[in-house]
Amino acid sequence: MPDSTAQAAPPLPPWVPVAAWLAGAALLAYVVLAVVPAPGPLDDPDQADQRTGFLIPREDARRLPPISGGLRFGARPTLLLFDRRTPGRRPLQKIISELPRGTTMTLVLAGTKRAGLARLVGMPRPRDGGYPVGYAIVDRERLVRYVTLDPTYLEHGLEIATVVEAVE
Amino acid sequence: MRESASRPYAPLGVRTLCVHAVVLVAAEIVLFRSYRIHEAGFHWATHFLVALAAAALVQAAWLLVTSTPARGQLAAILALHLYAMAPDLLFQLGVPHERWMDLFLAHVSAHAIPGGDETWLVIALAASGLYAALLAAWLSARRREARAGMAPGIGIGGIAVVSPQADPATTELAHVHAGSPRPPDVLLLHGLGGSSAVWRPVADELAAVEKSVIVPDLLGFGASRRIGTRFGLDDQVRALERLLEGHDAAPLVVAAHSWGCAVAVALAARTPARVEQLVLVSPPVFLDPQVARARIAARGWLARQTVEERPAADFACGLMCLARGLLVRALPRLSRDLPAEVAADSVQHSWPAYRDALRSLLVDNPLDDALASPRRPTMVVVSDADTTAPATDVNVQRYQRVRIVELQGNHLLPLSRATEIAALIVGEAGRVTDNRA
Repeated sequence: MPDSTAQAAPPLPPWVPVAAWLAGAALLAYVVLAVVPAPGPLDDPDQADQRTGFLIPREDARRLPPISGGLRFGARPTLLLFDRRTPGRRPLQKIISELPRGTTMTLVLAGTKRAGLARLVGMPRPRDGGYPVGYAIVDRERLVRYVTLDPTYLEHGLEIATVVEAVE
Repeated sequence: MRESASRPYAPLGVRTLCVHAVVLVAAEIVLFRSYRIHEAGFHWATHFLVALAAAALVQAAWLLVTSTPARGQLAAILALHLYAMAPDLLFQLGVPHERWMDLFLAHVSAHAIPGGDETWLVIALAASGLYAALLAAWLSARRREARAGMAPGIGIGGIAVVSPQADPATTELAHVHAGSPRPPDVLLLHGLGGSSAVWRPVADELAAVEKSVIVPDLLGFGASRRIGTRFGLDDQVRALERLLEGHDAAPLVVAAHSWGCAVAVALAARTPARVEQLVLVSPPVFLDPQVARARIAARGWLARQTVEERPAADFACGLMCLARGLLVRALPRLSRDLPAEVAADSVQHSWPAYRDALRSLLVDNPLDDALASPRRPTMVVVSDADTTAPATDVNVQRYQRVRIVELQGNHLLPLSRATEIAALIVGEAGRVTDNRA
């Protein structure tokens, strides 16, 4: 060891790490508990289950009948959008434009004849207990490979397209 | 680790920490905003908290093993956070999440913990708090050593991580005083990685003939493991001088084994009046340091790392320091050819003590000069089957002025040939069968 370190006291007094930890802990607790948005009424009660980006394994996936809720499944991958009211045309067109070619997209609104599809595909119930807002993806084998609540799905076209492509 | 050993406090430099803190906070703000744009703020929190907990635990483990703070104290948090969020970057490139992505700090499973981010917050704060407390204790220990005028105890593992080493200027070497209660007339010095236990059979023989024998554990070894932060020959000699002064020792016979021979000749050179005669048992003369290094390295992987002072040796020794309690119990059962006390004491030292002792043999080894030009009666005892310090290293032509005795046995002559060694120490060479005679 060089002589420069001989008899050298450390550059920090011992209280510094403890003080830094206290300050950091307070800041971090504030950020995590107050700044990070809490789940809203349309979110999943367990945020871990929302937008996981994780496909349901084939062996665990539900298989839909060939015709369910008046829709025919199996010919193409199908994106089912669930909402409580009709979204704007332009955001929907943006999602369509980002989807892989050959994907069928269907909007399933609350209170319509097809609304039962939400239960059929296993859409989670949001925190407010109402109709789910989010989407499900059914593959060519009619297997439900992805379901998630997503109150802001209209802004997540790329994310949806990534999962649809993975299903294909 | 060699670099960190030369600048042990570099990771804790105020400027370094400030720069890292600014970079960390700025980068995390950018990352948080990018997650929030995607309505995924809680994902940022999860992965940041996991990274913080991991960084704290890794750095705590590093500090415990190496007794040196790791480089990149705050940068490690950012690095691990980026690592943890790598699957999200892959997702942006079109790769959905899969189970194997748990390799990235449990990227997939981390969200499933009960309690979510609140639980991770508690875990991260507990882990970082533990590290902060450990670092504070380490700083306090090094500060107290500096206040005592000692070099910082960098790299001394075990309890020394959080507790200062004792000052050798005020703390006497641990020792055994056997035989007559009068001031000692024989001093026995152990070898590298040993302790006074190696000399116990010889000390018992000498005590039986009314010799007054003092057998210390040298600085950093055995029961003196917690004394001192530097372990060069000069440090050892100063500690021995204080011990002998404390016992009013008259000129005495100094018998030493292996590395202890280097300490013995250094003591004799520094305080000639104290040393009446030298008996050097299995002295590692190491005329050619390269040959000596190769010989030691050939004993195994750890020996090679040690002799080349590679970081792996530092790390392995640090781990052994952490596991010392276990090893002290296990080694006597595993090394049945050694007395239990000797086997247990073989891990009662720190890496710096071992390293400095080895350096004193491989760099500036004083034995050759001392044997070529002895200033006092000197006897060298070698053994025919010693592969550590072979008898052939003791050059009969060059060392004409010392008496050389060869016994049958291995490197550990004080254990295997205690009676003969004791006889040579008390000057009854006639009782000993010399192989060379």
